[in-house]
Amino acid sequence: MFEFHHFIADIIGSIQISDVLHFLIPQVGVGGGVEAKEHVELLPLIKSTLIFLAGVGTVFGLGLALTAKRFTVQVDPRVEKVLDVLAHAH
Amino acid sequence: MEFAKLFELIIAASLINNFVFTRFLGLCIFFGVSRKMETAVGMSITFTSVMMISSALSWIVFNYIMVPLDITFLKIIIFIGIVAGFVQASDTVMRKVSPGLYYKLGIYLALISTNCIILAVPLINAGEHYSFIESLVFALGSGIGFAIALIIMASIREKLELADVPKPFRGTPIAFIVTGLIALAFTGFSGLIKL
Repeated sequence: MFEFHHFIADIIGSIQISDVLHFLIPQVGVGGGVEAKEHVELLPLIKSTLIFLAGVGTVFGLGLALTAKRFTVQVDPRVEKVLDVLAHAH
Repeated sequence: MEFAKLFELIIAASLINNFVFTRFLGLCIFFGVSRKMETAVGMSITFTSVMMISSALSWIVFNYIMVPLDITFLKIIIFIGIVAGFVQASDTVMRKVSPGLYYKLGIYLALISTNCIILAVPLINAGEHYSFIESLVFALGSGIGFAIALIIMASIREKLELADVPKPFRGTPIAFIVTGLIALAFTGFSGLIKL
C-alpha cells in the first residue's frame, strides 16, 4: 500500500527555510567578485567594504595631509597684493 | 610574458583601439588641449606618465586587496580615488621640488584627474585580468595612442587657423569634423592584429 502521508511528510521535512530564502533572493553573481558566485555572505561583505573604504580614506587623507605639510610652498603675501593692484588683464 | 604579446598589446591599445578615435573617450581634454602643438606635447607626456603610475597603483590595490576581500564591485570608486589622490600628491610634491616642471605641466595635472581614459585603463586592466607587466604596457600603449591623437590633431588645427573655413564652422565645429574624418581613417587599422 502506498503511504501517501509519509510521502508528503518527507517532502515537507526536506524543505528548509534557507532553501526558501535561497529561492526568493537571487544569489548567483551577487557580490561582484571576479567570477560569479553561488552564494555570498552579506554581513562579512558589508563589514570588509566598510573597513576597506575607511582604511583607504584614512591612508589617502593622512598621506595628502602629510605631503601638503612636508612640501608647503611659502607664497609671499606681497605678490598677491601687487597682482591685485595691477590691472587684471593678464 | 613573451615580448611579441606585449608589442601586440601596445599596437592594439595605441592604434586599433585608440581611445580617442575608436572608443571616443577623453574628448574634453582632446579638444581643449589640441589647439597648440606645445600644449599637446606637454599634455601627452604628463598623461602617459600619470596613466602608467596610476594603473600600476590600481593594479596593486585591486589584485592584493580587493580580489582577496571579494569587494571588486567597488573598483570604479576606488580607482577614481587612487587617481585623484596620486594626482593631488604629485601636484603638491612637484610644486615644491621642481617649480619649473610644475609651471609647465601643472595646469594639465588638474585636468587629468577627472579624465575618463585615466579611469578606463585600470578598469579594462581589471576586467581583462591583465598581469602587472601587461597592465603597465597597456597603459603605455594607451598613452602613446592619446599622444598620437593629440599631435595629429594639434598639427591639423594649427594649419586650420590659416585656412579659409566657412564662418559657422570656425573653431570647435571644424575640429569635430576633422576628428570624425581621422576616426574614419583609423578604422583602417582594425583587423591588423588578432589578439
